[in-house]
Amino acid sequence: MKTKKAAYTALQLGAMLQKKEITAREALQASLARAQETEPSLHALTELDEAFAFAQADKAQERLLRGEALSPLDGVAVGVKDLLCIKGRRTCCGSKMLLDYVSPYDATAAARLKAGGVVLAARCNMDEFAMGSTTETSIFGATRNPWALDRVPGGSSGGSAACVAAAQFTAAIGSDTGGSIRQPAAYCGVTGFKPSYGVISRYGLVAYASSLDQLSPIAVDARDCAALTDLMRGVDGMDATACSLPDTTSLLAQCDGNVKGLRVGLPKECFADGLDPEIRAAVLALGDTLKSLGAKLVPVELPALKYAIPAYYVLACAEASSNLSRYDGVKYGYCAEGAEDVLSLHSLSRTKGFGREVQRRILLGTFVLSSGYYDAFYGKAVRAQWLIREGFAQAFTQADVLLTPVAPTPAPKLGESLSDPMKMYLSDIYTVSVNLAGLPAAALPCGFTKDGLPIGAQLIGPRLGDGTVLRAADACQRVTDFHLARPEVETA
Amino acid sequence: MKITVTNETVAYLEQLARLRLPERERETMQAELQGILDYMAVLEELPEQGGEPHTPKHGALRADEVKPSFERQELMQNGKRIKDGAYLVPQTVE
Repeated sequence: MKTKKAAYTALQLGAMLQKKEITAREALQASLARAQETEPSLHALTELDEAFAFAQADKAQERLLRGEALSPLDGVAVGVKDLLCIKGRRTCCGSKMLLDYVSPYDATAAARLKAGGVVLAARCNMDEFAMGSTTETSIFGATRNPWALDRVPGGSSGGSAACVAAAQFTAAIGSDTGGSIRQPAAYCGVTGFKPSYGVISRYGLVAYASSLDQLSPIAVDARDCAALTDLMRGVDGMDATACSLPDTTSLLAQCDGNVKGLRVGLPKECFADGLDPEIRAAVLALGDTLKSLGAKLVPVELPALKYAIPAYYVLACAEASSNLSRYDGVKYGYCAEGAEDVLSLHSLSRTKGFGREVQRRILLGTFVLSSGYYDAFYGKAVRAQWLIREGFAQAFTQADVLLTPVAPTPAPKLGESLSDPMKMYLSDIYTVSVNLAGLPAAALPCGFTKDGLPIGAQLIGPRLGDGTVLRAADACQRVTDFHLARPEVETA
Repeated sequence: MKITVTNETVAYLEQLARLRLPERERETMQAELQGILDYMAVLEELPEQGGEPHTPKHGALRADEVKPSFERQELMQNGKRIKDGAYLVPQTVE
């Protein structure tokens, strides 16, 4: 696989726009040309409305000419995962259920990105309703990994990761409920950041599991992720779980490269059997990089990690079964023809509107909440969640951040995961515990396999320690360049 | 506790979840759910003590201000069957 380097980061592009080295329209034209060139091979995008994108870019250019940039990212075009409501735009979550749903409002995060001048240029493909780890369950078909077209980009934010990896855009917005930003970032060799739960408002984020969902940026580097998070974050009167970070300094300003004395914990459970040896070596090498910058590596333990996958799938599916009960064919969404009664209307609309993986998770969630099984499954999963949280809290008395792999293997081949749901679920082993504990975590490229597939490392911080995570990730990226590598995408 | 997922189990879950799978798909779903629930047995190894949930605190509540939100027509624009400002469904009562 031939590789090249990313031309610029999102922040660098923003600076070029402000210095008038390039216009917002020219930058967008380059993105669209790249998308046109690579989309037949990748299918990362589900909607690219040039008129809509250029209208935003032209308004940004007017501001830039007046010297009135709204943010360091004014005029920068990004892809947006197809589950963030944008007023007047289709928001369909990769599902037949919402194929013609046009949102009547802006999500808070979308409004804040617009207020920062970010150009919401295209819709990114995703697993249906964010339920999946491969971006193969979308009604629009699978997205392919830009590094190897016979492999998945990861999921559920696979389109967001692929469009950044293919240099269609310098950044994209995705969401992360169990690893849906971090895992595709790792598989596609780009940087993703999941903030602490609550840091970015969920108002207008189509719900999968409300106690776990979090909007997340995916971009060239940690600084880009910090800048995008800064734009979107903060309390919101429309989301009671939205919170502010204790440090009022911007996340971008906290990326100062200083990790002297930083204690980096290596959980032994995350480097045990089942981890690809090339991934183990690359992640541990990143630990050595941090050590060379003055950080200290410390062993830690997370014994409750073995409950993470069952606890996550019980809790997430339980919440999903409740959240997706709103789709009944009546107020919006797919409405089946020929139903004779209301029950049939609901059942036929939902059966025909939802894909298989979504139906499976709804049924699983319904089971674990049903009478007679609630205590055995949901009750136990809640206890397991709190054990996991206590385990992380204990680890963070000995470490400031934790370093782990993102996934046990490099990106699987297309089709491998669909026939065995449990195998797909188990690939989330390193990521779901972070969502269960509401912690911040970044995925950053740390190497390649001998076959040329990207490897990602995960840095996890304590609750609301988002600045620490981004600072550590940025420090690594100041002395390594894995995150700048881009594949030469085979075009038809 | 060994859970056995039967055809009747899936049919009952469909009823609760307002789904209606074709019979052949129900058989496949039955096997898949069985495999997943078998794996969930790991939760039975949870220690008896520890992991008592705390009630999470929510953030500061906003003031309860009455103000316009959306126009009815805006919110109903995605409905398929609408009449006189209401959504139409099959008759529910005699």
